[in-house]
Order: sequence, then structure tokens, then C-alpha cells
Amino acid sequence: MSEHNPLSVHDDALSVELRALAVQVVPDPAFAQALEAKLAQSPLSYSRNATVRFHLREWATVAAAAMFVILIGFTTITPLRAWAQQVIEGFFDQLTVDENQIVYNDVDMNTIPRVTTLEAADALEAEFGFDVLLPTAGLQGAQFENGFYSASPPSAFLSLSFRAPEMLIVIYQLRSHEGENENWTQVGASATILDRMITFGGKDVLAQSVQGAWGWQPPMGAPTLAPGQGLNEVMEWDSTIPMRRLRWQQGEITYEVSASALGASAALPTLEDLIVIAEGLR
Amino acid sequence: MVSLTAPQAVRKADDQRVRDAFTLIYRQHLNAVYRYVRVRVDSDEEAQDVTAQTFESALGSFRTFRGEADVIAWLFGIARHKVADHIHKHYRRQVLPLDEKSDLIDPLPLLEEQVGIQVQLERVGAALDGLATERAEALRLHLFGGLSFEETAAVMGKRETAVKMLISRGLADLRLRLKQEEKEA
Repeated sequence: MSEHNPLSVHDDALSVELRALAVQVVPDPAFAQALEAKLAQSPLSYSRNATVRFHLREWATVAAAAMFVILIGFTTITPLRAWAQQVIEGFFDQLTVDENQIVYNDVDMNTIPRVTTLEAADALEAEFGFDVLLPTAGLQGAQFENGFYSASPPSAFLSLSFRAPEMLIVIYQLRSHEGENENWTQVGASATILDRMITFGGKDVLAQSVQGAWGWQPPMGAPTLAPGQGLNEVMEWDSTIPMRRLRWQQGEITYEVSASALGASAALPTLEDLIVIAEGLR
Repeated sequence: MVSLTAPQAVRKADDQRVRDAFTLIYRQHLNAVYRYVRVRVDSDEEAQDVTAQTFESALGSFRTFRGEADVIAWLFGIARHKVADHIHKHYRRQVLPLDEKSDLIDPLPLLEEQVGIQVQLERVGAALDGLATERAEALRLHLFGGLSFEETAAVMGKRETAVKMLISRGLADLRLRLKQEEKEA
């Protein structure tokens, strides 16, 4: 067999030696017992802190801002939680209040790499080091609009937008341990987070969904979200805002499908609709 | 006299079930996690520290963890990040560039002449650090963590075929590096 034949790894002499070395590496029994005892006494849950802020609400521009918010969020790398902490808190960080300070730093959108075709998005796989997945079902006629990405450490993400009349669907993949803007995963106390098992990559995977978003209202008015302009506003969680998100994780990759209804009479895709998209990612 | 209310009693029983389940996971996976961590750090003490952090972190999230099919991926995902945090904060091994022009000589026996698990571990760990990141990680998870190809793929967010290739090429690179070091010794 060739040196690079993956089927030969089991018989590879070095592999055998390394396995033999590995089995000799064992934790000190006293340490193992002490740690087990310590874990038996450790609390099973933890508490969150949230900052209370005065809130404003105006949902009309939130949906359109949602995509922009995602993009801004991913390009502003603040000191962020590690992937392990994201596992601790689920896929959404539910605050104990419905008010939150939403902060996004100034970003010139023209400096963010973009793709204009799905083929170009697929080709990013080599840069990312993880498989780029594209939708094969459930877009309900939405057409690919554009995509933004970053393959530069510490962030590695791809965001693909699909637009239909009165609907925007965004699919993104993020190497979760690289971090993301924490506002994006925060939801208000009144948000209802739904757990659903989906079939992804041939496995049953836990996913979570939430409807709503952070909004604001006059008289302060909707913040201007022109490209390159930062945002620093107190917002209130509003579960009636027509935006629905489905989020899950496999390995170190976080995936999210979000749908926003644009326009007062537009229908928001259901959770089942998002699941169809998620399970159809290839 | 203090007595539990009905909800408190239910909660107490539920807590015990959660703890019992986690204890099983701890006992089943401690050695594998420790081995994976140990090959990435420089001492037993550091490995114990990071391993403890891993399981403490896992316990903190265990109540909400429901992906039974991905326990290993979940646990090793935590371990990977605890190790990364530790390395980032404390230490990085000195890594020498791989001389790709070195001759490929029969690698056996690469480790026979060395004594002591600690010495071997240090040598292998340093050699792994000199490989391409993903090849080294695949080798650590598969050979030291004892993960299957599928499990390794799940942890790394890759397809199984990609992991097999990483491991195959990683072994080739590692063999070359170890042989080079032996020649220089």
C-alpha cells in the first residue's frame, strides 16, 4: 500500500508504537480519585449576570438589519467566550432581563471578503479547513444574493444570504472556538428557546431555535446602520419580531440558519422550514 | 425541622441521577482525555490541571447536554479548548522546522532505544507540535485520545475520509521528524 493510503494507518509501525506509548500514559490514581470526589461535590448549575438597561423598540428595520448585524458581529472580534463555554450555555445565551446593550464596532463592509456565487463559496473549503456546506432544500424560492467570509485567524466564518420577495434567509458556518460577537447569541429573558433534534451529517444532533430579536423604538429612533457605522444602543428583546433562528453545532463548527420576514404581511418560515434547510445542507 | 418541598425533592432526585450519569462518563473517558491532554502539555501536573478543568467544565454543562450521540465529541471539544487556553497562557514548546530533504529510512524502531515514558512522551509531543496543526491534532485525538476515525472527524468538524488522510500524512511527517531528531542526537 502507498505511504498515504489511509487504510494502512492501522498497520503503520509508528502508529502501533504510539498506541503502545499512549496506553502507558495514565493519570495518577490519587488524582483520579480526588477529582471524582471533587466533581461529586461541585454544583451542577451556574448563574448568569445581565446588565439592566432602559429599552427602545422599533421592529421594522430590525429584519433588514439582521443580516447586517450578523456580518458586523462576525467581523468585530471582542474578547469572547471559548467554545467550551458556549457548550455550557447552550447555543443561545438567555439573559435574565429583556434589555441589552447592543454594541458593534465600526466596520467598513467593503473590506470584508465576499463571494458572489455558490461555487466560489464552495471553493473556500481549502482556506477554511472545514467543509463548506450549501443548501439543497427548503429555500422556498429564495435566491443566492451574496456571501461574506473570513478565513483569517482568529475568526473563520462564512455567511450566505438568500433573498426572496419579503424573505431573507441567512446560513452561516463558524468555527465556534474562534468566537463571535456575544450580542448575537444573547436572547432576552422572555425568549422561548426550543430544543429540537435534527439529522445532520448522518447523526442526531441537538439544535435550538428562537424567534425574535433585539429591537428599539422612537423617540430615539432607529440607529443608522450605514456600512462602516458602529452601533451602541440599548435594545429590548421582542419575540414578535419576525425573525427565526435555528442553531446547532458539530465538532468545533457552529451552524445557524436564520429566516427573516420582510414586510408587515410577510409570512415567517416555521421552525420545520428551518429544519428542512438545516438537514439539507451538503 | 427542615423538610424538602415536593419540587425540591424532585430536584434532589434529579440531581443525583445527573451526577450518577456524569460519574459514569468521567470514569469511562478520564484516561482518554488525560492522554490527549498529556501529550500536549509538558508535565503530569499540567495535565492533571487541564484534565480537571475539562471535567469541571463538562459537569457545569452536563445538565443541559442532550446530544447523547456526541458525548465524546462534546467532551473532547471542551478538552481541546482547555488545552489551547492553557498553552496560550503558559507555554509553547520550541519547534524546529522539518527538514523535508531528510532521507526516509526504515522508521523501526524509532523509540526502542529511549527509556522512560516521560522522555518518550516529551519527544513525541514536541515532534507533534512541529507538524501541520490539523495533522498533529488528528494524531493526538486518534492515537492518544483513542478516538475512532468517525469520532475524530466529529471533534474536528471534518469528514471521516479527510481525517484518515490527515492521520496518514501526519504519521509520515512524524516519522520523518523523529528520524531527523534521532540523527541529530
